[in-house]
Amino acid sequence: MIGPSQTRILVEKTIKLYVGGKFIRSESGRVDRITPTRPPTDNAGADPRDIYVCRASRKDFRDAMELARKAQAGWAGRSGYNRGQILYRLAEMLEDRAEAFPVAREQVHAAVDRVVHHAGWSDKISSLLSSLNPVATAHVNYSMLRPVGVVVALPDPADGLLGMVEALSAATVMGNTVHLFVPLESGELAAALSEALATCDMPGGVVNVLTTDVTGLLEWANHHDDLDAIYLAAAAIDDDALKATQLEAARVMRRLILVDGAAQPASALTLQRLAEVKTVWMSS
Amino acid sequence: MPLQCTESDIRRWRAASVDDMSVAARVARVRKRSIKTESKVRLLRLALSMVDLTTLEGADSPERVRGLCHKALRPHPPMPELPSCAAVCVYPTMVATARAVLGADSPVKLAAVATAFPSGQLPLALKVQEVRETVAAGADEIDMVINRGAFLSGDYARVFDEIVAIKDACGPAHLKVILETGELGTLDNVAAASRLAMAAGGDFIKTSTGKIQPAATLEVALVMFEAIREHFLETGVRVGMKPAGGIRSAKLALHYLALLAETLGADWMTNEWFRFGASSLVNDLLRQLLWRDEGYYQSPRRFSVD
Amino acid sequence: MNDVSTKQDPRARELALAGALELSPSIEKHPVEIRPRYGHFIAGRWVEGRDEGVFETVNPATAKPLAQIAAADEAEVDAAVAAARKAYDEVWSKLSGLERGKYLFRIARRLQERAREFATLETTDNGKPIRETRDVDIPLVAAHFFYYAGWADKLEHAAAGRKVAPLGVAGQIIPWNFPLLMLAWKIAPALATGNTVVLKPAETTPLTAALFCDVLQEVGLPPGVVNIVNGAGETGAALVNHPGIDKIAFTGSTEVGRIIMRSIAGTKKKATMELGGKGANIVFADAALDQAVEGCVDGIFFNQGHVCCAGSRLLVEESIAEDFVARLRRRVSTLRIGDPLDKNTDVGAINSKDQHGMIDRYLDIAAQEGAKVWQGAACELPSTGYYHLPTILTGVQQTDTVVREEIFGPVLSVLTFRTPAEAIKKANDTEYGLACGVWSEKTSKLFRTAHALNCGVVWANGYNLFDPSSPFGGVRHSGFGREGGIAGLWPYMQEVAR
Repeated sequence: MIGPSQTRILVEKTIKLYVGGKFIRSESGRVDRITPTRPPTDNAGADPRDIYVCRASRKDFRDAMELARKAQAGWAGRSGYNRGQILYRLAEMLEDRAEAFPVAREQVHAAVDRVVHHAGWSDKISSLLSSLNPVATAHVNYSMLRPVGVVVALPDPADGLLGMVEALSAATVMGNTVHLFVPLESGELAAALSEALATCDMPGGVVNVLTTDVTGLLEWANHHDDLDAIYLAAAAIDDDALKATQLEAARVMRRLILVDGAAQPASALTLQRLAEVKTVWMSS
Repeated sequence: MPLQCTESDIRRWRAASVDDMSVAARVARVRKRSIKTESKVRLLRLALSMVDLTTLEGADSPERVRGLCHKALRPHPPMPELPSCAAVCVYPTMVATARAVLGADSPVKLAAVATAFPSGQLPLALKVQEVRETVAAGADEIDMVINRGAFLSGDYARVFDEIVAIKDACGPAHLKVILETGELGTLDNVAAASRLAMAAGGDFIKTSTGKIQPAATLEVALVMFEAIREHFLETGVRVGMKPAGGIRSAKLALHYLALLAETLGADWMTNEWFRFGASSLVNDLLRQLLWRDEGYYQSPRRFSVD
Repeated sequence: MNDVSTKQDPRARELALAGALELSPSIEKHPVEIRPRYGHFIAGRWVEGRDEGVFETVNPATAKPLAQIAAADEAEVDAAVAAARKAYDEVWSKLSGLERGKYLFRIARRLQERAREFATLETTDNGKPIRETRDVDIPLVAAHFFYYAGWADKLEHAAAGRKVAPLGVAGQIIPWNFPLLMLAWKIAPALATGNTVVLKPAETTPLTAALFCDVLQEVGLPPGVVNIVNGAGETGAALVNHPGIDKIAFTGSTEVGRIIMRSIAGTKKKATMELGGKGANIVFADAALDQAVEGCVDGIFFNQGHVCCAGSRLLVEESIAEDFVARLRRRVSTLRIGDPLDKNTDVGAINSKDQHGMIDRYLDIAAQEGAKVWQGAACELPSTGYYHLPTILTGVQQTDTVVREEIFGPVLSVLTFRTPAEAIKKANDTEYGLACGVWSEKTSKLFRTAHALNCGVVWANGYNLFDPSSPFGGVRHSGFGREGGIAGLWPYMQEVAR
């Protein structure tokens, strides 16, 4: 029993990585004590305190790559209808857990609405951007969108939760699997988001949330040749890191999808860049 | 014991499969062959030697057939060095008349259509009798029609047995089997019917009666050439090919020869193994030959009408 | 009972295909004018160019030089970019889409009217058969301009309703394998979307691009909208590195593509890369085999195999492999190799001595790695010029160099598979991902395989088919961005606020 005069000792949660549908510690064993960058909000407790965040390492990323690659074909193979429902379920879980996010309620609402927006694309964008091409021969010729594959996403930290959900829903609605790189300072957001992801029926490995030194881990992502694309908000890294990323991308023709930020949802043409146009000529 | 086909033969023929668009593309490519100067003259002469000069009209009369035989023997008397046609092709009732003109040891063969040409819709016994009488009257070659009704209804065995019976009735005469590809509907069917006709003993396979549209086409010819090649490679037996109907221009004839050369090779480039079933083609071949020879485009009036 | 013995050929069951069709020469004689020297086309007029670095373009069929070509240096590239910028600022970006389109329509018309001249010149400079330039390259060039002409005033429809703007000045670098066609693939969508252009043709095939400038003058295209600079890699580098360029479009090797992407790292330049390939042609046992043979021939011997999407790997179902290779050899025995200007030539000359040497080096490697080399044709090779026999390699495996690297020549590697899953796995087992073919008469198998292949283009029962309305381009090391179709517009425009 805790007596009335005693202050209750808080049970603090160490923020883990979310990889392959599981909450794991970094293989490196590194856990950073971080003073979160947290704007004053009604959700924030009266008592802002330091948090403990696992820091994803090169090997964590390497392992996550395996899981994301494994999950990708299955995720892309699901119907658009199904992927849309799962993303909508994510919106439901976010809304339900609004309290868990250490940000203003409006920010959570904006994030929920963004997920709902992109969820709706899942069974529509292909109708909008695919084409039946009127070739001069009698072939049936059609172009369709195929996922680009496995994506690393670095949203603008200033966009907070909205930036994270914009990136992950844009990537996944196109059939990709995605590693979300989140600065350690945003660990609480990452944790709350991961918990929503873990409960929304999304298969493990489709979205991996890696709290880390994003610029540092990006360097390792640049060195992983099985990575198909990097989604980058302009403000997520500095010019040198961007140039380094471009130089490494050149080696394997990795796609870079540079976006301004998350204020507006990705347009259809931006979403298209998270996909490959594939054309089939069928003899008739 | 007559030759018989098994269920597995039938399954194999039915499985014959052709991609129409690719066939069309291949043919389009052959149509672009540019056959000029010496090679043109050589192939025009070859084509002339491959013609089965044909008349198959209800109004055919002895005099008409005599005229045809003369033309086949000497297509253009001012140029006696030109080859004669391969054969004349007439109805059975005209065989005796044609034989009288051609003589016993003619360089021009005497072919007759038989088996209730062009429909083939008579009892087999009557068709066999018709063939026997036609050969007895002096025909060197019999052009029979297959039973398309039986083929399209799936009764391949019946089609096969009829060809075997007719082949038997032919005795020494060569048998050309007309598939009437214009009634078969698909190139797959053309391939299957070709295999069947060759297996049943046909010496030649022939596209058409000339009474049905479409008659011969390069697409159909390619599929039949390929079937002949398969048969040859599997059995070692060479079978001839005769496209018939609609081949009126020398240019088209040369494209048939180009397709033939590129599919079956030099051994088929002779009238022993390839024929054109045609009539007006001869005059166009002559026009082209004389243009090459004299440097003037010829008026059609220069040549005898047939 | 039929007696078949009398009809049996005493010889082996072989077809006498090679030489069966002897054809007299039928040479395309359309007059073409080749000037002794070409400089650069900048701001609507020809400039002489410097004497330093002048090089020759050679007729690969005779190994004789055709003309002298000046190489643009940084200053000349700068002048071309400045002309393009000026034309963009003052004329082209102010023109309505409809008016831009009308210029493109005019270009298409003139190309159609001068088609034979372009075909003859292309064949002379490149070495590819006149049959191809006449029936494939040049008709597709005109069609491409016609196609994109009609898009110029409908761009918002292509952008899912968003307002769009051009990028600015596009620097375009094209290869020697389809010189004018690649020019069309680059210039038509760039102009339709409102960009202006500085284009560098390949140094071994600059002549049709030069003749194209005649057409631009005939149709009165405003000066500077299209500029052509000649030269080799250094000129290309100057173009890529020019700060006034907003967009790079490149077709060529993956190796050069990497260099370009590295060069523009750290800049705002956008890029389209259409790079190498190692296309697989998958032939299932239930395919229409003779037509599949035709597809394999079109896949690897079209344009001497100088095709980035060439079907250089034949993946044939093991149960029919022997029969299929025999069919393939028979067909190859009828191919006519020789004077590219002869209308009956099926396979022309390799574009350059260097490329010819490269192909032979790969064949040496193949032999060292245990491949069996078979070569065939309907005729002897001409004694002069850079000719190469169509080649089929058997006894090769996934690990072999010739199976993994792009040879860019008339060399087909034959591999086998047992199940559809294995076929897909092997086809996808490459860093490239440009194009594949699949052959079957079973429709469900065609669709399933076509959709499982990891590449940008799949031909089902066909190969090497092109159309302006059909997007073309690759995945992974084969590059990114599409050329052709609606998707071909996207890399040349950006969304802007309304």
